[in-house]
Amino acid sequence: MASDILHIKDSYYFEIPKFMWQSHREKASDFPDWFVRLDDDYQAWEADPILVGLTEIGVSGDDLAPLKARWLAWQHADHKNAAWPLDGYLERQSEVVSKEASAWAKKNPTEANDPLKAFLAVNPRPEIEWFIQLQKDPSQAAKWTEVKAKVNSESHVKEYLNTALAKDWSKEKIFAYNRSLDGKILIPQPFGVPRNAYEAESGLCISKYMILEVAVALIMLFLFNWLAKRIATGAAPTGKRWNLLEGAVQVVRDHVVVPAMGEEDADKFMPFFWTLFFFILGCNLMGMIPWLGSPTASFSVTAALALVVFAIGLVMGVKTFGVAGYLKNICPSLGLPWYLALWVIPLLWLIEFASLFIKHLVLSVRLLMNMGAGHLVLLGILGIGISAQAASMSSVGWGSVATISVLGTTALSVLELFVAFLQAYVFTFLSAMFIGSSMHHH
Amino acid sequence: MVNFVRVSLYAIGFLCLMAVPAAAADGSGIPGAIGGGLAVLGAGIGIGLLAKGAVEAIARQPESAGTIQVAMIIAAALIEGLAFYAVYIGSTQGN
Repeated sequence: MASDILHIKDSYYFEIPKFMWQSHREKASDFPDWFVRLDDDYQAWEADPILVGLTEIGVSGDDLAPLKARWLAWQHADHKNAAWPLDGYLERQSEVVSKEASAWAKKNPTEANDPLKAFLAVNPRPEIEWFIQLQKDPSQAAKWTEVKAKVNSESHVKEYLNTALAKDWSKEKIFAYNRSLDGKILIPQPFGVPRNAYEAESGLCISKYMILEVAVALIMLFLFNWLAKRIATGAAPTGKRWNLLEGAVQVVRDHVVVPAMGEEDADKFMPFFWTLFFFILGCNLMGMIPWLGSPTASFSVTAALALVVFAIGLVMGVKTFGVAGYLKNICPSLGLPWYLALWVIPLLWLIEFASLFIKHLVLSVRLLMNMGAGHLVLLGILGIGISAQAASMSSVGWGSVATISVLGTTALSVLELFVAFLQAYVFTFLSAMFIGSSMHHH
Repeated sequence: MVNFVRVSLYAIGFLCLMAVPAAAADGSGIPGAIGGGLAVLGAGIGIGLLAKGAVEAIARQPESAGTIQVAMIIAAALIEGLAFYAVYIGSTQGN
């Protein structure tokens, strides 16, 4: 769920107050490689070998001459286009034309076997047609891939950093870049290459949420290991921490899983549900800590959790009933007379089969949306207070708006705390219900 | 007076109904966020009915307040999940 205005998305850096982590980089080589790749000067320098490569592939000079100027104009036309390098520009433009062509072809069906050619015959796009031809020809496309690979390789940035241009970055540019990197602790990326601070280019990039999830897992390991040792002694709980943890553990068993799954099966699955509940709770509560974030606000995390629940339900259902029996079991037996059951049961079975997938999907989306949207609302309300200053109201006006917005944000944060617990409870309860219903006769 | 209000409500409803084919004929679309708002309207009414039932049940039998509260919270969370989802999808659909 990345969006330009939201900072509640996953990122490849930790953000803390700016004054606590100032960026004091002095030259181009101090900045990370992906940061240099987004710089205007670097992209202008990088465009030349791309143009040379294109000339070698056989593109005519007429097509290439205006390319650089057109690319720079495109970059400045829309802020979404900012910092796209030349090869990315060419490929995006050709994708845009392909999409236009397929939309056009749906409205004007022709017998031609190439809708793209038919589209271009009617609506010529001279600035990108040559590139589309290049992509279609296999040998030229292979050479283009080579050119791209050379330009996107790590050594290319190192080459740039050794040139005089890199040493020439102006003081204002370095100052501006430093200010934009203030407060951001960039996470080292040994396994992957980030494209920018929010998206990965290739490989496995370690993001803030991944680190937070590992932190939650370690805290859980530590706490529950401690609790398990205490419980093993068989003594009654004493002290605040022991009572709290043992009470929480008991509540999850007696009031969440047993009502959903029944007494006999609960003990078999309790480790899983305890892990699920406390992991989701921990991740949700991470969102309440300033400058961290809740990993469950990312679709990947909640989808993975729902997928695990689905897999367990599937495996336990197949173990109990066998594959055919499991599929038969998802549909309730209504005791209908045969002339009704003939067409009601297949319909019902189809609906139940679809709902098998849908209810797990909704399980993940519910948690995701509650965590994501909750913090979005907080951002919105606090943003009202912040932007009231920009609206240059009088200081009395701004002061009262800001006070109201801060008070509103505080009240909503208390609600968010409640929602964190509630969503962990609902997720665990529904997972227990789904797994239980896949093991018991409907 | 009541008749006037009734007729005017029908008129407004018909106007809203005609907005969809009019927008289609124009070539533009209905902004997606309106769909999200409608979904939240439904969710709000649904949760309101739920709360009404829960509060009445507690009033009838105060000793079962705990059970009823738990059931109410679970149902509210389920309904709200769908509402959030609809708002998000609606607001990212645009026109």
